[in-house]
Amino acid sequence: MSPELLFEQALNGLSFGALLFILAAGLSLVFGMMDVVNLAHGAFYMLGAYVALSVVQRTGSFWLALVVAPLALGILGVILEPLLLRRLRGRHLDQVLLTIGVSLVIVDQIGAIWGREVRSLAAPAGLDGSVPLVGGEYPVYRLFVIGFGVLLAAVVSVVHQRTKVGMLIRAGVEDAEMLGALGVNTDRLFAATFAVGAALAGLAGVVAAPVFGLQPGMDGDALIYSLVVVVVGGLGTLGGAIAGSALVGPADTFGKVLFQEFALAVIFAIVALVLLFRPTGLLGRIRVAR
Amino acid sequence: MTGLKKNGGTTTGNVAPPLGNADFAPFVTQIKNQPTKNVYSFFSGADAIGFIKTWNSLGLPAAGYKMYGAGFLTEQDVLKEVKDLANGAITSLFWAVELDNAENKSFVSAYQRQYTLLPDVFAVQAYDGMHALDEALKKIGADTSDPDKVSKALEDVSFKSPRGDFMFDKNTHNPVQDIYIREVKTQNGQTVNTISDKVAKVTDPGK
Amino acid sequence: MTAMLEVRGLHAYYGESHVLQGVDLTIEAGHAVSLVGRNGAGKTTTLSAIAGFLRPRRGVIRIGGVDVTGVAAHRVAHAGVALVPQGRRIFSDLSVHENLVVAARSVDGGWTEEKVIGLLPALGRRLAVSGDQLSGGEQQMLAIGRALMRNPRLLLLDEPSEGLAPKLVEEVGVALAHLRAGGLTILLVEQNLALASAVGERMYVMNKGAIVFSGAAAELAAAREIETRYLGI
Repeated sequence: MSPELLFEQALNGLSFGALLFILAAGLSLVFGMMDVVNLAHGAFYMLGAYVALSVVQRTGSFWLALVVAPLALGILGVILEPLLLRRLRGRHLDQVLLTIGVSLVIVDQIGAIWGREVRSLAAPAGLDGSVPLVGGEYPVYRLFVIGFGVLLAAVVSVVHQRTKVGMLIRAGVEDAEMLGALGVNTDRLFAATFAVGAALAGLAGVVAAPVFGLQPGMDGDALIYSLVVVVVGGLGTLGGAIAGSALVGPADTFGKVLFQEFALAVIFAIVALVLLFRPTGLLGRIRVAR
Repeated sequence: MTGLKKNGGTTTGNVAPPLGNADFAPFVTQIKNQPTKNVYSFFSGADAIGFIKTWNSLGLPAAGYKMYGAGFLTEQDVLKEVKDLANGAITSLFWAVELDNAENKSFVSAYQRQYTLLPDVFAVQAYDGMHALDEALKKIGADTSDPDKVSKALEDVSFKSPRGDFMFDKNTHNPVQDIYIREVKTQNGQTVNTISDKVAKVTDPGK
Repeated sequence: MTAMLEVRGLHAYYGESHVLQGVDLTIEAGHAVSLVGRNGAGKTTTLSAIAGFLRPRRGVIRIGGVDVTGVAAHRVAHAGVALVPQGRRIFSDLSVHENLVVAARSVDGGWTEEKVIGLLPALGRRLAVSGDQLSGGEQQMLAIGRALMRNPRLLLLDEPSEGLAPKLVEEVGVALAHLRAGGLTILLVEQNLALASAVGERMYVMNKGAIVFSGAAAELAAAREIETRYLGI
């Protein structure tokens, strides 16, 4: 591979990794706080993309969609958590099963509302072209995705480390029950956490739509990749989501082109290796089961 | 690839995205690693849309690359999403919306009365399938009690389809039909496959 | 006068196992009570039920006369109860300062970070250090300090001496004596009988999910039979 192509592939991998971060951050947050692997995360992602499609069709504004879709998913999350998950509090496997049901319902409703054919979403004006770069042209939108992902990671990190909300999240991820004994309403904290997780999935759906398009089955792909990221990075930690997506994005890209026959095997080989040598993920810590 | 070599062509390499792949950029970038600028691909539906959009955003048309493929790559379900991004792509298939025959004209206009879209090849396949069944059932007076009779009647069906003359190969039960060489063009605001050539009465070699 | 804590006929289960079998316990405001007993007697479960971690099957829990039976932990906390749990459960990802802040409730005349450091000077030098860097003793001091930041009316402690060197156990005892002298109501669960009888003016002995003895610390010391049978001394 020539240096130019290597550079271009690196950009491909980084932009994929940036998308994975947006996607996996929400999954990781919900798992960290609530000990629930939300298997509806992919469906939330898909719904975010379709809501964005409708917003763009009505208003023509991608930027409005970038706000509305996460908001809509956040509202859905804040309704679903008390309505369904809270009733099974403490029964983690039942909650996981429940999220599978939620995802089936959402995906089916998307089919009923938006149809089952393949759709695509144009990148917003100004980001829809390509710029000359080493090795030829490169799409501006993918550069935007990298920037957006990095910016989001930076903002989320600052919130996580420097704010009262971040402090509550770190404490809750470690021991939500104890936080309750210190007067924090964990019902509200969990509903808010689930809403933020859903909103992040929706945000990922909007950002990904111009790159990957919208089609049945996109929920499953998104779910699997985000699970890979959080398992590799370390379950339930923000640093883990960042490290995991920074590794999995480029690894997947280079794996696909260098080992074509084993394209999908590459990332799972990484998962296996990480689990073998660091069972809690790159930046994970051992969780004390209570 | 076998056919290409038999007729004096050569290939320089291949790139194979796994099924259900969402990100085409790694593969399209990898095409730039090849010494040739003629690229044949086999995609349909979501994959075709992803491939064509990525192909354009990574600047392959501007760099002189040319897109070829099996007709599903540029069927109407794909073209309605990618529009003129697919212009210039050359593909082969047994039908195209622009095909100039009486059956196709009435099929396309009837379809458009029902739906607001141009029909795609999948609509033609479903339509022909029902047509063939209808012809066969007429022949046996709708008496389906003997499966062998139904099968035999289907074998003998031949009719004028939107794709041209249609009949079955008695040995393989594949259709015998004309294959059209098509080029994607945007005309009158619609992106469609125009017919540039035709290979008559092709029997599918598959069994 | 209403009691600060009143537990009546409390029954609780872990799954199928009947852990609490009718616990009765009363603490008057400003008093300190120690709850002792062997491992598995149900002491921690009693605290869990009071703190709102575990919903009792039967019975009543009142804080200052208000029924808090089966309510969520945060509502128990708002009723004025603070817990120093078994195993300390400090937030190891948070700094000492953050551990205190996350619990803080701005109530007039209450505890502040400065006041906590005044009582537990060991924390003062470690404010910026994250919880997982603390020694066992420092973690215990932090767990106590964190609970105090809630401005509790009733402080529950679950084996604060666990795993601590004798000198540190002594420090914990001094701090608790100070709190008691300040009028705080205390329920101390302890295996360390010396600490338990130093802090608690009244002793409850628990066995198989029920209270089997209650009386002054001196009375328990005199009741050799109780000590032998239920405490293994």
